[in-house]
Amino acid sequence: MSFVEFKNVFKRYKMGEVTIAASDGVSFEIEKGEFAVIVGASGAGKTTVLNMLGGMDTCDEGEIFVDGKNIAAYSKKEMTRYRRQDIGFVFQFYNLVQNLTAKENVELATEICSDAEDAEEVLRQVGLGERINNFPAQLSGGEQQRVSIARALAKSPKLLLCDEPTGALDYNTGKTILKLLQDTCREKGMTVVVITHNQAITPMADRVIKIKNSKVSRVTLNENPVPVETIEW
Amino acid sequence: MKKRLFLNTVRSLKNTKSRFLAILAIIAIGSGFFAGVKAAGSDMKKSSARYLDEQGLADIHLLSELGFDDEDVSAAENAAHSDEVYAGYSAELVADGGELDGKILKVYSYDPDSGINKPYLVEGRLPEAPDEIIADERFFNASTPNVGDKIVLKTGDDREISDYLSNTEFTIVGKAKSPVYIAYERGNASIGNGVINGWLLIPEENFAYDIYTDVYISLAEADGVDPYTEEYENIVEKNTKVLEKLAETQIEHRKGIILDEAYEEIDDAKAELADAEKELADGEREISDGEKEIADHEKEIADGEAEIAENEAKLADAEKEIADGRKELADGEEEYNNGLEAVPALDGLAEYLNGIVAAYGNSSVTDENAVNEVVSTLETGGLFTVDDTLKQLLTAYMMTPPGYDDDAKTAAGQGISQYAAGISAQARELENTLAESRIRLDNAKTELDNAEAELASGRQEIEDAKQEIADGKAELEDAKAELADGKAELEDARTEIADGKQEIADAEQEAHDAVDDAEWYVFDREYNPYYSHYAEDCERVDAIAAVFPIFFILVAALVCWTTMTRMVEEQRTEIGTLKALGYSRFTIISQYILYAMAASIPGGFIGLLIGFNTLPRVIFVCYQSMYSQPYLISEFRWDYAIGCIVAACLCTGLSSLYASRQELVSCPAQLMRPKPPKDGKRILLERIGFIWKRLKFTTKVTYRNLFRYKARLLMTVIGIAGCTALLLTGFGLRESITAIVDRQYGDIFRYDAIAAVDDSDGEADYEAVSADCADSGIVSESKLVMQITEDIRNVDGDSYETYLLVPDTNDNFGDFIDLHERVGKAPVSLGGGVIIGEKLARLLGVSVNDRVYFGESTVPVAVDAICENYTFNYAYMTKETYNKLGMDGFSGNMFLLDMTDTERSDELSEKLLQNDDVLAVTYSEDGGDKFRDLVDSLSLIVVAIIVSAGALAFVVLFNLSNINVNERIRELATIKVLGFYDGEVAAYIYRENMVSTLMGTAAGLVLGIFLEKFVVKTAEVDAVMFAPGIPVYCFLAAAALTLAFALLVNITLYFRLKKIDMATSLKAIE
Repeated sequence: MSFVEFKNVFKRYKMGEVTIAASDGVSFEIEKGEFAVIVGASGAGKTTVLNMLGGMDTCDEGEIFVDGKNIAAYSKKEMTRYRRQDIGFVFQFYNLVQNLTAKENVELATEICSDAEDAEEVLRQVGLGERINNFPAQLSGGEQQRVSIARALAKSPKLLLCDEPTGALDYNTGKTILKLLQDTCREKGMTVVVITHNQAITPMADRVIKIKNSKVSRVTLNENPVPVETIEW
Repeated sequence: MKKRLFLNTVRSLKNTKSRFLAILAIIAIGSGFFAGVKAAGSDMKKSSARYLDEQGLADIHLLSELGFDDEDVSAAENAAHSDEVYAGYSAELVADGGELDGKILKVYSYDPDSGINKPYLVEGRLPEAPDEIIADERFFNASTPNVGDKIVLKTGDDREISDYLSNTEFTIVGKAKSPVYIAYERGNASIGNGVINGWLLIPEENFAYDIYTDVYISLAEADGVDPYTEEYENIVEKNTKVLEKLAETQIEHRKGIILDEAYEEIDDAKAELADAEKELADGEREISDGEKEIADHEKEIADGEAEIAENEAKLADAEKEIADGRKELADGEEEYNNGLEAVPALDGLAEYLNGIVAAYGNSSVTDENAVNEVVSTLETGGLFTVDDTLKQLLTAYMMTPPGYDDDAKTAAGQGISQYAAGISAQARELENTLAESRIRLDNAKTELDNAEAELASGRQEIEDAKQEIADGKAELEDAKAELADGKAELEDARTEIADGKQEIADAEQEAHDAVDDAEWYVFDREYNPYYSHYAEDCERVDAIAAVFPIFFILVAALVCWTTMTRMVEEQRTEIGTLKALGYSRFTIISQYILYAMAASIPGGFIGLLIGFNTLPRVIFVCYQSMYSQPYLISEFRWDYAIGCIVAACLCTGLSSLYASRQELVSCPAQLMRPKPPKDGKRILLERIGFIWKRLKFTTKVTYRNLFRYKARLLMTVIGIAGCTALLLTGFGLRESITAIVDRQYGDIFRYDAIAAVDDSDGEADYEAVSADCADSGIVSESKLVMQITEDIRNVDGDSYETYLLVPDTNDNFGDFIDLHERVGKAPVSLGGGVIIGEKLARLLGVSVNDRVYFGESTVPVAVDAICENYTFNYAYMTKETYNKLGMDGFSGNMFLLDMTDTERSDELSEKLLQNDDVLAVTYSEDGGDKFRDLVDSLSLIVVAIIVSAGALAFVVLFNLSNINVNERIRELATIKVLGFYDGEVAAYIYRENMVSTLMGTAAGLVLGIFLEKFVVKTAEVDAVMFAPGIPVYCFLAAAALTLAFALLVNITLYFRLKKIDMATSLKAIE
């Protein structure tokens, strides 16, 4: 069994009289240690997939296996524990707590995690060793996203989920962040799932899952993913 | 406003439901509470006014010891501008038999046609037949008889029931409230234990009175005038004055009649007495005449007796004389008889001698014996003594022998013959003498016989006189006895007359006593103390109502401001867009104003509707335990309503203006960019490393967050502080009032009861009352004091009314009233000055050693000490000090009593009231109870305060937490994504809430101290000092309740947090 496995997953929203399926029988797999990109246009249903995979939302039908466990059958509480222990989340807008310094933002995650890494160490790993005591407002967007990644990594998650991690960043900064994510994947053997509307970054992924109309339209496996530096968009 | 924009506003209302509702709620709570409490006072007054008007409570009630007759009634009717006058009867009677046996009832006459003091029927119907009556709903509710049952009445003293009523058995056909009894108190009775339990209305034809006992007047001018206004007071005062003036003259009318009646009898008695006195005088004169007569008679008798004695002496003399005479006579007779015998003897002797001569003329004898024989013969019979010559002659003659010497012999013979002749002559002489003696003797005899006859008649006379005197004496004795009887009779008559006089004097005194002090008592409604209490209570509610709106307005403004600020912030982009589209500032603002109004106006109305309909009712129910106002008219007060809503609109409108001020001046481009999130900052606490380092990470976050949003923190603190302060005020107020009872009637007034003594005549027998107390076995100690109401002035002339209490002696005074300072409880004792209560000292602005004056006295008295005192104003001084003031003399008018068993109060009353000098016995426990009732009713107001404070705390905390959550929803969603459990997410927010709540609570406790002081000052009346200081438990309770409210908010918040959608974290920043 693959590390991540979506099996015919449905998610429906009722909008008045009409029922809209945000996930309409989604099935895909991701192997452990892979750098996967889920790509699709706005409204294609990729965020729904991310929500379900991240334990932020439940599916109406189907099974979602992560590391051999069906998280679709999880209770609310199990779901929270799953998020807490197994998932690292990187947000498009970093979602740092403005009132906490970089280190404290990381600690916010490590505080509640059982086998967390040292916050300062992780920050150093993401290249913010000098700025650990700065508030988010004192950091650039890229730096903030690094903090966000450090926060996700510090928990030593099984899965690193990134929602448009470069969406709010300029081109070069975006690239360095993607590089950080790719390096993390390669160096730590971390399974990374990046969600993006940007087709251009698919070559760097081990696996590209394309979502269209709430369905997986195609899954591509890159035998030789390219380093992010070589990608231009 | 443009249609679309309007639509936008309406939709935004829908989309921000909780925010909208928060504003609506705070406005509703604020205006509802304010208007409700505010209306309560006036609603209660208005209801009372309506009730009293509909039942026709008399404006003026006349009473007099002498009662009233028709002339009095019409005089009163004409003097006052009266609408209607009802003259009726009342009496204190006692229920006979049944469950109520022995209960004292006040009985009033009932006239179905009278519009004055009409009963307010609660049950049953009005009387139609003479034996049908209405009973006091309050008293008879608690006990049978019920409607349809019978009740029998008797008197409570030794008078006959027929003096009062012509019928004694009645059927209760209805139960009612009476406007006369505004409160639960039924007044004092002059019989039994002195407490009236309830009242009855009995059709007036049952009353057996000649004169009316009560006159009730309804004033024409006061018709339709609100009785709680100055206008009403003025009208009543004017008429009261008129009636008081009338009373001065009109009382003479009844006095005259009563005195006339009394004097009719007295005059008869006097006439009788005068007759009796005349008779007495006659009798006295007669007796004195009799006495004189007796005296005369006695003198006469004495004279008679003296005469008799004299005569008897004379008689005795006469008798003696007679006896002497007789003896003389007898001697004379004897002599005569001897003489008679001597004559022949002498003749014989002469013969013998002659014989001798003859014999011896011629013879002689030799023997001498013959001579001797002759001699002895001659001498025999003693008639003749032979002398020597004769003897010699004889011898010579006889012995001379014849012849011997014949010459001698013849001479001798011749001598002897001569002798014989001599003897014969003697005999002849004797015969003559005898004849003479015979005549003389016979004369003497006749004389003697006459004297004896005279003597006998004298004797007879004396006997007669004696008899006469004895008779006189007996007569006199009789007369004397008669006189003594007469005198005794007279004495009786005199006593009788004196008694009669005393009786008449007594009767006169009585008649005068009965009328002298008699007067008309003109009572207006204010004389019923509960009437003014009711008004005061209403005003107190008003005063409290005046305090709280400040908080509610402040808090409402704060809530509106934060809410609108948040809203404007959220709609920043929209404002920018609108501006860019060319909408004017005014149009954009009007959106928010509209939003504010949309919350304020309905919120205000909802609050007003609820407030007007519930709070007056709640407060009314509280007071209903004390007052018998049957219903409450609660009206929608447009004046308050408009005021509230305008205030609410201003409050929300201005706060939206203030909140949007920055957005409105900013240019559209600036607005359309997201507002940079508020920077994180290090807080002051972090600089104190040793503390900061020790804090847990989550605690650090809490503190950072708290100080990051200072405005919101401030608001929470203010809101919570307000809540806590209100709660503390509520509890403190309750405690301040509650403590009064125990402190005043427990710590200060140590006596258990007061026996009021009537010393109006200055002749109260204090020893007897004191002895009665001691004999009762229930009183351990008693103390005579004088308590009077007197004005007390300071040097500036500010004057307050106070009770002046002067003990007869200072010994053991502390056993009855413990005078001490409030702070430190140091005892103070009566000295040369005066001790005054704390409140009085505060009112007068005097402290120890300052001078005060009493009443009309110009003698200054130094304040010796200021003592703890709560209810009414008291001043204490010694009798010596009092006497120096130059006011009326000391006249004890009550005994303070310490009881051995306070349970036996009924028994004590009964015992003491048997003494006519004792007017009434009251118990401190009852005084305390009365106050306790008042406290209980105030407690419910405290509950209202607590409820509203809770609502306030809830709305503030909820709204602010809500805004907090809204503002930080992204952060919360993120930490949820990070895997925080629901509880941890909640705790993340709770910690902040708890800290701000604790800060608010602490601030509120401090603020509450001041607020409580303020409210106490507002609600306190001159006659009461609320116990200052708030006990610790109040602080604890206020804090605990605030925290409980905060907890409640946190619980509701928990569900809100649970509902936060994690997907929010993925959304773009607005």
